[in-house]
Amino acid sequence: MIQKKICMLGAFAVGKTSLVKRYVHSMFSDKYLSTVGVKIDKKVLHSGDSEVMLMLWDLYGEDSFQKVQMSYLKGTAGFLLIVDGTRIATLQTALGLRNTVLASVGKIPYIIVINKMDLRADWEIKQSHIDELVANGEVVLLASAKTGDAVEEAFSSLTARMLRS
Amino acid sequence: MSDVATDELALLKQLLVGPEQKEIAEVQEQIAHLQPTVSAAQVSRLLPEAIALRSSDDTELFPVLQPIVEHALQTSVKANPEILTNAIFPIVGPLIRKSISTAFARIIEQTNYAIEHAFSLRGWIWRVQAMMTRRPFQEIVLSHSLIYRVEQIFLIHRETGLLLQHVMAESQNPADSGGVHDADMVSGMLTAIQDFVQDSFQVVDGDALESVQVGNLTVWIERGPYAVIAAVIRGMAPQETRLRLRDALEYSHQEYGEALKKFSGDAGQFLGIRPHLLSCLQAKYHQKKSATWPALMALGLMLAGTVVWGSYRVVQERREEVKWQQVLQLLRDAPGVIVVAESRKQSPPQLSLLRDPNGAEIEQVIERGGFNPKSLAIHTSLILSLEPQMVLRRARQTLSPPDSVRLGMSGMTLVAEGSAPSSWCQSAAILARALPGIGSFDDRVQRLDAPLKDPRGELLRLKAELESLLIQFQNTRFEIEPNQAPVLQRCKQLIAALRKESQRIGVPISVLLVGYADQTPAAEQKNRIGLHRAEAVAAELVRDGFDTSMLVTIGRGVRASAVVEPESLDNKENWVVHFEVELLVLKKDPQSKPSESAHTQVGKRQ
Repeated sequence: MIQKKICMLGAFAVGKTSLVKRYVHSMFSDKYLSTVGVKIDKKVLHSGDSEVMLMLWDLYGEDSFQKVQMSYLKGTAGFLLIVDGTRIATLQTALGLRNTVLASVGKIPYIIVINKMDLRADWEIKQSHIDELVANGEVVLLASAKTGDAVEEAFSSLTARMLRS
Repeated sequence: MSDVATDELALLKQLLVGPEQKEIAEVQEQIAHLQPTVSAAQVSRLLPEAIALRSSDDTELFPVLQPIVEHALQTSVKANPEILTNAIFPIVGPLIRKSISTAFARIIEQTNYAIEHAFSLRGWIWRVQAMMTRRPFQEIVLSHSLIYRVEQIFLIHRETGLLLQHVMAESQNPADSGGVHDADMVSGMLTAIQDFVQDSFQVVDGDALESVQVGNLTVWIERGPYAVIAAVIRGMAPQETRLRLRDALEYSHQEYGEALKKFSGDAGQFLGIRPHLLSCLQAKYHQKKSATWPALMALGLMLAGTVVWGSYRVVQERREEVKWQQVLQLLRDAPGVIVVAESRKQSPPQLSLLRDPNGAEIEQVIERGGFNPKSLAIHTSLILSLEPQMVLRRARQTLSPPDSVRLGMSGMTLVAEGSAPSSWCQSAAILARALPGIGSFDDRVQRLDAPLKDPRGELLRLKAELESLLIQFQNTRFEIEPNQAPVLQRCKQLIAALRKESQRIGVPISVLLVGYADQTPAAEQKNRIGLHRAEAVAAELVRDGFDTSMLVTIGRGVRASAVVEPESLDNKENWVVHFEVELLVLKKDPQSKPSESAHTQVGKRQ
């Protein structure tokens, strides 16, 4: 079995933890997030002929009080960049994080997941923003932690990309 | 064309198409190399170098070679397993020996430990403590007796925090507090915490978290350039353990340095490190020599107790058996009781008996043998016993004899002696014959309501028997026939007995020998014939020594009883001699008086 470390990154309260909660094997409580700044979960999935075990490092959301601890990003094989569709500021934070991570750990696969698809009507992020991201070569998925839409797809898509790289 | 012109042309060609010619020559050479014979030779020269070169560049070659190697191994094993067996024997042998010796050592250690704690006072106290705190006994024992135990080892990839290898002490239950549910996540979190500590407390470069302590549990962490070893330890481990961890870590880097550096998620390649990690799983317990003594003493006492108890049981068992046999013998001897089956081994002991209603009281017999009848299961069936004792008892019960009568058995004859009313004697004679086991009734009872017995009884009996006998003669003959010898012999015995009895009771007797003849001759002649016959018999008696004074011979003609039918005139019933006995003191029997007779005293004719 192949093991891969991936990180969940994004601004505070974009739904990173909610996204993984229903789809992973978890043994640590969420309080680790606010104390140590990271919570580790596990997800096993199949990608092609390979069985892959993803170790998900759910990093504390970056806000004005706390920055993402960069040492947690060491050795990560890929990351999910989570954005809250209802708050456009979280996209900026995410892109900032992306730049930091790529600068720190080098060019690794990642996917931008815009969460809260179930509240699409209230979104501040418009289609134009998404089109722009896609035009810049980003892989963007519109997901909902609440309904589960595109969550599995986010993990499997990132895994496939990591295995290819 | 001249040579100069040829050289010039060649020079011109070289100048114009020289590089092309060189390329053509190389291509031709390559084409030549592509021919099968040449290419195989070339490949064989290049193959080892090519493989070495490619495997140092990346790992692409391994998955390609994997099925080939696996298939080759399978083929080899199928063809001749011995080759591979011989090849791996030097490795497998020591491995198996080491594994067995480790397992044995562990079993011995655990057994010693179990014995020590099973019998010691301390062990019992810990049991009580376990019961009161509702914690497993093993945990209590561990908390008191463990110095340290390395329970788990994690080999973690330093950069990614991914778990490379994980080993656990055999007795370690993941559900225990020191156990882990998911080593992968613990591995990640341990890495995160190390990073967290390093980032949070601004430590000097190279310094790192070396240990984490929670209660009795300690996590020791040793860091290498590419991997980290974390050991979960219960208790206080010595520094030697840390050295051992470092050794394992150094070995990992030494042998798998490159693989660790290029680790891309496949932990399977680090299986070779496991034995080194397993060797770090060490434990040490308190060993108090004195603790063995109470255990040995307890064991000794238990053994001694067992021996004493066993001996007591054996003796007790023997006694019980003897008593049982005594009871059985008493029952067998008891009248009217038959032991059909018995078993003392069952609980309660079983007895199956047959008993005459008049037989011995079974419970009393058993009590006499020393057993409590209530402690036995007794099954009794009733029978009628034909033992003489039981027959007699039954006769007494049925006949109810008066105190003056004594009953006894002689073979199958019931004998009654003493005195009783004749009415009892009559009913007893009837009842006795109806009783089972009684063949006849010998009534010797003196009737209380009957006249006194005639003292001449025996004399009269002998007289009656003698008078019933006849000595038969042939017609007109006076000699005793040889076939009359038995009758004559009996007559002699009776006359001898009569003489003896007459002397005993003082009653003199006279024996008359009366001879008869049939009606054919004249009366005188008849008497004479009869007399001759009587004398012949008398002569026989005298020859045997009988006193002639007591014998009288008479010739009497035709016998009165025989003169019935005219046809029987010459009936042989008249050709006889019979006896008549006269008791001389008492009044003479009128029937014995002859009406018509020739009467002679023996030796003297009258």
